[in-house]
Amino acid sequence: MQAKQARIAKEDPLTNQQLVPMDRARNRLATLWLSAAALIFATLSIQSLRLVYGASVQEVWGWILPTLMPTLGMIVTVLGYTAVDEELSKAVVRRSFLAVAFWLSFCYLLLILMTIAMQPLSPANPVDLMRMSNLWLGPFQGLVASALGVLFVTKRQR
Amino acid sequence: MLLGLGAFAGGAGALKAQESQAVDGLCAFNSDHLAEKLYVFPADKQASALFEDLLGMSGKKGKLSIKAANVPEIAAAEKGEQRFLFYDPFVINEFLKGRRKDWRVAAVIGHQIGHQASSHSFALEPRLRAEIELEADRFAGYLMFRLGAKLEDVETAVAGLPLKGDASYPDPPARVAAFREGWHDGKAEAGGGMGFDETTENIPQFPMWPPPRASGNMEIPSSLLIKGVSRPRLRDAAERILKALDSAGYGERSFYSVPDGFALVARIEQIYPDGRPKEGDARWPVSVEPPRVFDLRSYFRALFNSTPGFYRVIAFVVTSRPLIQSSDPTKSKAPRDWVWGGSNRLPTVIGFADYTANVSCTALIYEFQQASRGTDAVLDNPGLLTGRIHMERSALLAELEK
Repeated sequence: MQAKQARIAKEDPLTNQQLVPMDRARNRLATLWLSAAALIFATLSIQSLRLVYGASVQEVWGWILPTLMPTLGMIVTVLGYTAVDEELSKAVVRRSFLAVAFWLSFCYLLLILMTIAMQPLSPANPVDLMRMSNLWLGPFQGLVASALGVLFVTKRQR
Repeated sequence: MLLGLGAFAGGAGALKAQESQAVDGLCAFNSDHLAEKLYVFPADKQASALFEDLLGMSGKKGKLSIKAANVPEIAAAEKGEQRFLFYDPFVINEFLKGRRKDWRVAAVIGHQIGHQASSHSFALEPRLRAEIELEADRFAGYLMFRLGAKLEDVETAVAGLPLKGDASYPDPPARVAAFREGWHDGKAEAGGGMGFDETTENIPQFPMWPPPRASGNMEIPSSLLIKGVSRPRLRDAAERILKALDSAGYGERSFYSVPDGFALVARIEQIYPDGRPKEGDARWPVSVEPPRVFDLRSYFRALFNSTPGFYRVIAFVVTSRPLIQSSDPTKSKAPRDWVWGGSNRLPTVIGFADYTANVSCTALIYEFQQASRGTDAVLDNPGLLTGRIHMERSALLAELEK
């Protein structure tokens, strides 16, 4: 047994402590994204129903949907796909990359939440604030999508 | 005097032409020197040409009978449908011969021609008489500019006129202002612009007339504006409104001229939906401000509630004309900026006009609503509240009633 482990370690320099099963990584990221998205959608829905945005409600949803939905769609699709194909769940990912993907996602979602949460404290038009936030959310979204794409789409198994 | 006048008018022949003339009404400076009986003679060509030229400058050509007569300097008169211009031949002869223009005589001529050019009737009650005198003065100022007078010439000339202020005539300062205003009208017409002449008393006209339809309005009873004033004038009403605005905490305000009166516009203010003005500094921004003191309760209230803004502009229109409001929707945003375009005080020429029974003061209230922060405020028409409620909640009515 010890010999087998030594052989594996020699073939692959990564130890088990440096690796995380892909399933767990995906679940962790999916939890983050789905809970943040739920919070954001709930907030915007209540605000829309209470006419916080007046006639600009369409613009508000036109801002949030392309910001969240592509990534959320990918996450849910992959989770569903792996749920029915056990083989795809055997992959692993380096812990450090998972951390990068997690914190990128966290910061991205935090920026979106802050754009909404800052509205009562700003004299500017909320829709203008949302439009302005696209300046930094756009590039950030590219990074997040790349990181999550690798994690959710890869089929390589160890 | 009559004999001399006859001799000047053409010797013995003229004497034959002398005839007495009855009139229904007459205007003359120095009316104390007016003879009891009026005699007239045919006018000479030079004098007729002078008056017709001057009348032509007004752009009006009416049937005017020009006669030499035993009047002091020059007088305008009417008898039924017939209109007369009487002149003292000696005075006009001197005026025509003079190498330097006698601007005092020019002012008198201009004033009397002004009466006839404007088809004034002299058989009027005193309050209307005062108004037509000011109009004739304005015309005189205009004519003097056309004749080449400088503003100093006008002022010197008017200072030499026997102006009297009584129940029938406007006060001398109002008349001086009317002459000046007419002179500036002439200058403006000639393309001279208003310049930065500190003596000018022209103020901007109300940005749109008739005014756009207000969200609400209230007729302010005259008794609140001119109570205790023996001979009320428009300036008395203006002072009363200004005092009420000051007491109710309104800062900036602007005067505009309107036909036969003036408008006084207060600064746009932020109000609660029930018409009360917002407290302190929150009253003046034209946007919904975020909470100044942060606490979680107000934060979440602001996050999950719409924060519409309510704004109000109050314009007092004081005029003797019936007030009609325009329904042109393109003008509906304009009232917000009115306070920045007018004058800081009422010109003498408007202020000295009598506050007659025909004059009314209407408070026009323009309500604006901003659906949410950062969006455009739009005029509420009709408004959420009546004009009277706005006047009560703004504390203006209480101040006027004090």
